[in-house]
Amino acid sequence: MEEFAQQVVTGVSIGSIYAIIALAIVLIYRSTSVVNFAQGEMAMFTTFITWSFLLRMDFWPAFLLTIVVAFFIGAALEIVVMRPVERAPHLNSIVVTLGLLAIFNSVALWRYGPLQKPFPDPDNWCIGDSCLEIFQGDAFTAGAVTISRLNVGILFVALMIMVALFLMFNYTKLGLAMRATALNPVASQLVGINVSRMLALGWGLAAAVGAVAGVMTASSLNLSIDMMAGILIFGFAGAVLGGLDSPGGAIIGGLSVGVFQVLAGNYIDSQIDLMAAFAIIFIVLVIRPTGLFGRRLVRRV
Amino acid sequence: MQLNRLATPLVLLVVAGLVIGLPAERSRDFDGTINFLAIFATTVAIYAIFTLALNVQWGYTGVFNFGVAAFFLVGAYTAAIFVKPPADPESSVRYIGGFGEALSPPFLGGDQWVPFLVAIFAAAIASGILAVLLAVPTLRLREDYLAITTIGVAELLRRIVIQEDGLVNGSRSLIGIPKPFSGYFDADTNRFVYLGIAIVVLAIVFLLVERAIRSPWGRVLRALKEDETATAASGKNVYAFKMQGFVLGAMLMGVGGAVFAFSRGSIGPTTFDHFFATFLIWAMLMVGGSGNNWGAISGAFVVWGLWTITLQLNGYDLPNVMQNRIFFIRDFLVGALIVTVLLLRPRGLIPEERRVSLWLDRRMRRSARGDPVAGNTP
Repeated sequence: MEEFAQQVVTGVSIGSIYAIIALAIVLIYRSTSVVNFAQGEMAMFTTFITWSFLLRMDFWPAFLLTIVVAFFIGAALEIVVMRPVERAPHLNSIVVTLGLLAIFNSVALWRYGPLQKPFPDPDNWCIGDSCLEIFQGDAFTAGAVTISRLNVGILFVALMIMVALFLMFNYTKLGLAMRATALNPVASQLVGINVSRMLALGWGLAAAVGAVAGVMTASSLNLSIDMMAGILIFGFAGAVLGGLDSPGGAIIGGLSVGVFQVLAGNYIDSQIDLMAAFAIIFIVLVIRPTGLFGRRLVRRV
Repeated sequence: MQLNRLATPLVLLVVAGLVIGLPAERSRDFDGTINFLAIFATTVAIYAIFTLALNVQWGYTGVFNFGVAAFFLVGAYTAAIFVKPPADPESSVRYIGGFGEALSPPFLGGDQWVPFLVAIFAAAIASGILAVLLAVPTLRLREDYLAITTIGVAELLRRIVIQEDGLVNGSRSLIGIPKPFSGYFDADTNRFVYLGIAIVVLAIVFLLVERAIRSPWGRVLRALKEDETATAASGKNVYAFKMQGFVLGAMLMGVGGAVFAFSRGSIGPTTFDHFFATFLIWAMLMVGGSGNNWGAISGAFVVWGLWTITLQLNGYDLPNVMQNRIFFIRDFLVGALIVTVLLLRPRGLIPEERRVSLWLDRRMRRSARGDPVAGNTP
């Protein structure tokens, strides 16, 4: 039983990174119905930006600065690249994100080279002398179950993002406008919402959330060009599992994919993790085609 | 408008000029250039088989397959185990199958072509079976789900190949795949024999697809892509037609994989990564123009042409900062090409033609002239 609990805890801490990246995918999907295949590479690229900031400043300023930079990169991409293809067939936008994937990948290789870079664990959060010890320190132990400080920190960050987005979407006018745009762009335009600005905001937010995922991945693995490639597939799995248009579903989907992966790896075969993740998705999709928390799509003709 | 109409031939000419010109200028050797061009053309022909197959799935049926690599892999490995001799139990090379000798009849120089022909059909069937298995649960879903599922399956198959190393020799690759007619010609001539084989297969695939798409069956597929609900409302079984389009495309991808395996001679799990085996093929189709078979072929030519040319640049005195980074430049160029083409010409170099059938065209003209429109007789 204790072993099982330990597996679940490990799964949740792996899954929290999947959850963050799934959240970024969902943020773009629900506002523009585009699956952004470049999400992983964008996260990787912004993490390299963090890395170059880290040479000059402490961790938290660098981290916050990256989030701001990522937000503007995302919004700029929407305005410059995605907006012109908005009117074209739906698939064109998706293929454009593939082009972006190749561009981000090659620019990162050009600028930062193919070698792995060491990436520090995030510092504890300090204001003056009082520190919130979430990232560094001894591992937490409860009975036979342990969880490292770094994983606690990652979970904590994932929770923070979730709460912040929840508050924004549900209790601010901006959030209401973004939800309205996702639901019905034309009607939103009619009641005076600036729809194009909302779409740019959606991309910016997604890029910022992706940047957080990138930094968290780099702290638990190491910074490299292909670090997001494997994670993106599990992130997609989490997003599909939760239903592509539900942010809460993305978090739960991402966490469950992490848990399934660890459990299957431990109790069935250590090589089977990816297959287990897909088996779960397949089963869920056959029973509930819109994912666990997705909206039923009703089309009127 | 004039410029717009000239853009496509211009792009094709410039790429052709560079592909012929650069190696000729660098080697200043006729034979060398011709050999280079033969290899180049073989690769383009193989890729064109894939873009035609993807065109059936996406351009005509509107099924969003993002795991071309999966069908590529299955086709290539199936073909390889059909033509290779059985694995030697003494050695460390392990793979299943190895029907090459069993399939060679002792007459007509049978070992030179019979196994290969069988292998191509086997590859098509194996890919088709994979397509059916995948389509049953996912084809009813929204297209984005199918995209994510297929990309996952491609990765999954690649992992299976690596881990189950008794299956097709794992990550050590399958090398020494026999080549058709290799016993008759020397290595130099053989290059042109493969080119011929690739072009013949491409031509057959092209004619098959053209013929299928212009048939009543093909018209249903095209209607399906434009408006699924309207097609269902006119009494067509949407699911069955989607399934048929998807499986036909997958089978052609299997054929492409087989021809690839023969011409390359060795395949390993790294051959089938997402960038090379899925992404590049999508880029070719979108650049060339989905929904048009000529577009699919010219897309393969343009993208692979640029890909090759960038490597050719390496022979020149480049500034130091570019010298080691030519591979990154190449990836960047392909990415930038896709984005630019889709921004400037969203329907590709050779766009889909709006014509549905000649008969309807004549009818439209006649009613425009005010002539009485005859009932159902053309």
